[in-house]
Amino acid sequence: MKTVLYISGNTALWICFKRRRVVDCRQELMTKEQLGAYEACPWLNKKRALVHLLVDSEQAEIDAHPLLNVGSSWSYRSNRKALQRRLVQRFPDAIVRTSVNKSKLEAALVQQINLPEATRSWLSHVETGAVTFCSITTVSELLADQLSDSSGGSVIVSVAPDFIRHTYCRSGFALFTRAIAKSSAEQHADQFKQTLDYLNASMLLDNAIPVFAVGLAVNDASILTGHTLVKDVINIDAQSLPFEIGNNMSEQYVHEFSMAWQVLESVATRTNHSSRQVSCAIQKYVTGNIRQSNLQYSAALAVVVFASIGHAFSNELQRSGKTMQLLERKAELSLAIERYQGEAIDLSAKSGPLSSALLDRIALESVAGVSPVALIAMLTEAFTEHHELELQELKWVVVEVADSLNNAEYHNESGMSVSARQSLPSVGAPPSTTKVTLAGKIVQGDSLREQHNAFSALTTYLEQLNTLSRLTVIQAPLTQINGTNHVENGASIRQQAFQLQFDLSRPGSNEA
Amino acid sequence: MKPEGASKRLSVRLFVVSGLLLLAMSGWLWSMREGVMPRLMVELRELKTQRLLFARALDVLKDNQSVIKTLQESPVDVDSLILSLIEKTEQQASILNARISRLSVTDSSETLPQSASDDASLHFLRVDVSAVLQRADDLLSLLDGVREVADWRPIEVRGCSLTQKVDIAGLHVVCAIDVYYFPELDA
Repeated sequence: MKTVLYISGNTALWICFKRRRVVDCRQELMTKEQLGAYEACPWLNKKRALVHLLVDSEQAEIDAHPLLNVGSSWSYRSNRKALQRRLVQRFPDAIVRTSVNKSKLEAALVQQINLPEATRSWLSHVETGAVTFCSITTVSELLADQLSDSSGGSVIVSVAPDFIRHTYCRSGFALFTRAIAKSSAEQHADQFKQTLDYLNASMLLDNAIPVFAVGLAVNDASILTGHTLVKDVINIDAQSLPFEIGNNMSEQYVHEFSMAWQVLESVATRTNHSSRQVSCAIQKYVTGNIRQSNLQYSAALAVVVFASIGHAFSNELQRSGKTMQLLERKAELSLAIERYQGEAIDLSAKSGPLSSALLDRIALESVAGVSPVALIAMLTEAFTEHHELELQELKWVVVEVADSLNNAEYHNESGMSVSARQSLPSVGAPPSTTKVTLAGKIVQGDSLREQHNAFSALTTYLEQLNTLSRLTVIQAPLTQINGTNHVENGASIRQQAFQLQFDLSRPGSNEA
Repeated sequence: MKPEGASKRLSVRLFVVSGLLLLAMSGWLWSMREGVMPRLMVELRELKTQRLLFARALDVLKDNQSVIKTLQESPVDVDSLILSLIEKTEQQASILNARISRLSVTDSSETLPQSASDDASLHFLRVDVSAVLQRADDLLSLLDGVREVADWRPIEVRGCSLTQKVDIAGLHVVCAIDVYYFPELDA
């Protein structure tokens, strides 16, 4: 249910709409007697009844204040707001309108409603009750909104109960309005000519424009055509209404109903209160809204503060709970460590250094090279299988590739470079490698081919061992031009020497 | 008076709003503080590591009760160990009918530069032996003698050479054996 208060002269008409239907209306005179609280219409029985105010003022005036320095869209917006703010301060009881769109109108319009003191007083009296005016609109605004031609200007001639209004509109805005007393058709034609001449002189009008006649008799309207600045006269048919009128409603208020309906439908009603500070009308609404906004902001702020404090408190509770858990766990671990220490001291008074020494032993054993037992066993097996070859010299040294920098080198009597561990092996270090050098001679086989084959069989055998790698032949039968010949039983025997080198890594069991 | 009152009210309101926002932000920031938790977490991690180390140390001690017994019943210092190594090697050579041409036992702490503060540094006795053996197998018997003296201490044959020479009967053997010891235990 929506209510519009239409005021014209000293008459006020309350119109109630419900689902595109006028369901009730009440007319009253705006008298000066204001005894007691205002008795509002029966349908306005709410705590805060919002009412749209439509003012049909005879003395309304429109002033255009051009916007200087239009510039870009951004500067237009900025300058528009600044001008609007200045005008609102200068004319607190007027309606100030500016176009949001730069291309429409590069000016701010100030419409002085010039309500009589009695009307203002009556409106204030009405507001003492539940009624709150949520918007204020003038008839000229509505006409401009409804009939303005976007391509150029237009003049609207509308009939009010007590006067006839001439309104010049452009781009949806009423730029000029004039009310004249009702008179004969000829006199009205003269007054209309005056209006057009004034508009022409004010540079607002230079081409022929359409004229909309609202509520004017067809004959009266046809007289308006006799002017060079009138393109054509269009009669607006007020009978085709977009809403219904209740059965018990009087048909005499059709014009007012129509205007009120337009108020509800018009964009002009979507009031920007910052630019329409009409103190006598919507001050209560603005104040109420501000109070409501303040309440909402306060509530939001309180929620933020309480949520923050609650969050902090909840976090603190969680934190203290977790801290307690950690302290308990710490105590458990300390107890376990003490128990281990006690048990270790029971086993040995020097449990600390001893366990450390034993762990060092485990670490050293984990990286030890191939044991001599395993090495000699492996070589014994190899030379037993290859009896054509005789081993004359065996050398081996243990080297740590990863920790080579930590090893100090010794040179012993045989000229071997024997390193020594200076520090414990790092965690996960691989076992040390044993570098083996073998030297000997081939004692069987008369021909070089046979000797070569015997040597090749040995190297092939060694290469097949999983633990052996990087086998290098230093000396072989084929690499010698002349082998060592010695005479045995009168026959010269060629004895080829061989020498080879390889790396040996530790097998699964070092004592194998 | 009216604008002044309104201005004062606005100031008070601004002050209250700022105060409340500050309170909210402080509460939020306070709840975001680290507190003692990170320190406790670090301490807990260290304690867990310590517990594991102590548990492992205890297991190692339990697995090596014989070593504890040996250390308690017959403690051996480094000098004694050096003497034992020399005596045992000579004894083994005598049994194997081997001729030792050179035998030395050197303490690594006297020959190699070591930093005292380095916990990971190792101490060992380097046994350098040069001998003529009958057979290659005798080398293993000689090493067994060293192993017997070392007892529980880790030993490592770092390098060896076995050479059959024309001018001598038998094998000429040169070996370097490291016997690791632990000064903190006097063993």
